Amino acid sequence: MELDDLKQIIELLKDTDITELQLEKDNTRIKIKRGKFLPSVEVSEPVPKPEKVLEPVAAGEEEEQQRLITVTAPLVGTFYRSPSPESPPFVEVGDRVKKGQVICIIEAMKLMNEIESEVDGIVVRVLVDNAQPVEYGEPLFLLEPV
Amino acid sequence: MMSLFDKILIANRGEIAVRIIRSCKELGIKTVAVYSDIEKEAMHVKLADEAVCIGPANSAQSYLNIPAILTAAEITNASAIHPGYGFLSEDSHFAETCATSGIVFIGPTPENIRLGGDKSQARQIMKKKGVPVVPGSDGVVSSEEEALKVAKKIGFPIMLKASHGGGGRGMKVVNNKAELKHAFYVAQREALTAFGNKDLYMEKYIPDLRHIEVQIMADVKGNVVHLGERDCSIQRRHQKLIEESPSPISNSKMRRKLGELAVRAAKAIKYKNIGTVEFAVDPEGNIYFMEFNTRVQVEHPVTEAVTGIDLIKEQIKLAAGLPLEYKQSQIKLEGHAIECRINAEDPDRFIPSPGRITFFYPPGGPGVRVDTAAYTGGIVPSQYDSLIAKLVTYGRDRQEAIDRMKRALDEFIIEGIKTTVPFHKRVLNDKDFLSGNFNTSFVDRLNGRRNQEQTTE
Repeated sequence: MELDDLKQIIELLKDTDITELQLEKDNTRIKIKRGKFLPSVEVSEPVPKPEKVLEPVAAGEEEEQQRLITVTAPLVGTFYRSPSPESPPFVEVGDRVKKGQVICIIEAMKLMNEIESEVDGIVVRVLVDNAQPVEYGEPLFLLEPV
Repeated sequence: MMSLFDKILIANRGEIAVRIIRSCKELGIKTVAVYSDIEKEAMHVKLADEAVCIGPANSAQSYLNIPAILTAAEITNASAIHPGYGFLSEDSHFAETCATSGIVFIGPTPENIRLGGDKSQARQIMKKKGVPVVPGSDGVVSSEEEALKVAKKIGFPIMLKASHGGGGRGMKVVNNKAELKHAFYVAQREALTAFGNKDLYMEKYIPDLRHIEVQIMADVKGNVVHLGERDCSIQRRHQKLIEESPSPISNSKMRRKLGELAVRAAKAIKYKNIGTVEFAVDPEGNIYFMEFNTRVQVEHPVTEAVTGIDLIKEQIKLAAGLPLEYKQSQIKLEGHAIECRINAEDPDRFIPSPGRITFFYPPGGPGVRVDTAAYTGGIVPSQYDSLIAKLVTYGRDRQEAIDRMKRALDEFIIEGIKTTVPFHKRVLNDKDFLSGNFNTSFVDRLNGRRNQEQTTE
């Protein structure tokens, strides 16, 4: 099962009342639970159905995000995804990156600061558009460590 | 309105950042706050139109980080930077870098800042231009032998001062020849560690002096006016705690003399923008130049109160190249103003007391001004200055300003951290303070520890 499939399933669940889902496919079993700390089956009284899931992020996605590594801007500046306007981006979603590999540039004071990945991983998401200003500590990428 | 700036970045934090934002708003100028990553909830961040996180808590990587600050100005299209006080406000390299980046530094020229920071050179220039200085060395003393020679000429006790020191730091009193040898090398080493430069100069030590300073304003054409004096003699270890304007010992004749000297000092170094000339006044009333402060000062509100002039607005207008709006004859001191610096410190031992403010209720009512960035639930970080509020009271005369200060101190509620409010209450009830009879030894005397700790931090 691909990560994108998993994300799709989570997306699908978001607007439903389903609180728990188990799936088995290609020797992989996944279990997604939604809503926070819903009492489990041992409770004898009838469980009131949550009218709305208030948490903005479903539990399954939370778990997923905990596994992922957020690459943040080490300095304030302008974020560039490629070494020059004509060249392709350093990385795209789905690319595998190595520790020490340049994944973007942050320009500050006319200096191009190459930002390297600190882990081996797969790019799950690019959080900032090309040529946008970023502040110190701003999340830039989500990486799935491998 | 003439062409002022569209947007100003404030390279500072705390009460002074809030203070600057207020004047910008009144002038119709947009503001950009910068902050370290522990100050997302700080008041200056909330009040500014935009805010940029520029680095981690450590100020070397945030509020002192020149590339980060200039980049923040660039990505927000700010055309000028106000440095406030402290941090980069007296860094001539920063002022220069702003200029080469096409950003206006709201302050004096890099050369003004450099001279203001080089105390021994500033002293020499003043001496040459007829501004009296405390008897001492001609410039830097580079060896213990040379120091001894000067000491013999001017007589002990003497004070060794770091040429690149400031803010009340880097001073050492030496009482006799025996102490000199050791003190000289210690002072040199301390100067090198604290200011990155070991140069020392010497002055005759005057124990019971009053610290009186004069606010000046100068435009790019070289017109200079002064805004009267502030008495900042209530200090602890050379750190000011209470300031007032006018000085209790001043009169129109003394004010004219102080003002003339301050204007002469400003013209001597072709000063631009607002600044302060610090003087020492000895018990006989002799006035000596001490140093030039090339920034807006913490205690500027007392001058604003008695002159009715918003110094931050004037500073911005002068930086934009506008001419002075005032002639000397148009500047009048009316009434009396006192400022108490409320620090997050233990009021007896002056040890910092950072933490969360669980309740904050500032005083108000007639003649009361509170400059602060503190609020209920806000944090006083341990990484920065302990000043959390400036309480300023104004009255028709000194007595009314004092009465209001006592009343305002009683109203002030700050819970969760220790503050210097109880210390100020003690001072405001002291008979020497009430009579105006005090000098820089006042706090030691109040604490029963006179003749102690007149040395460096």
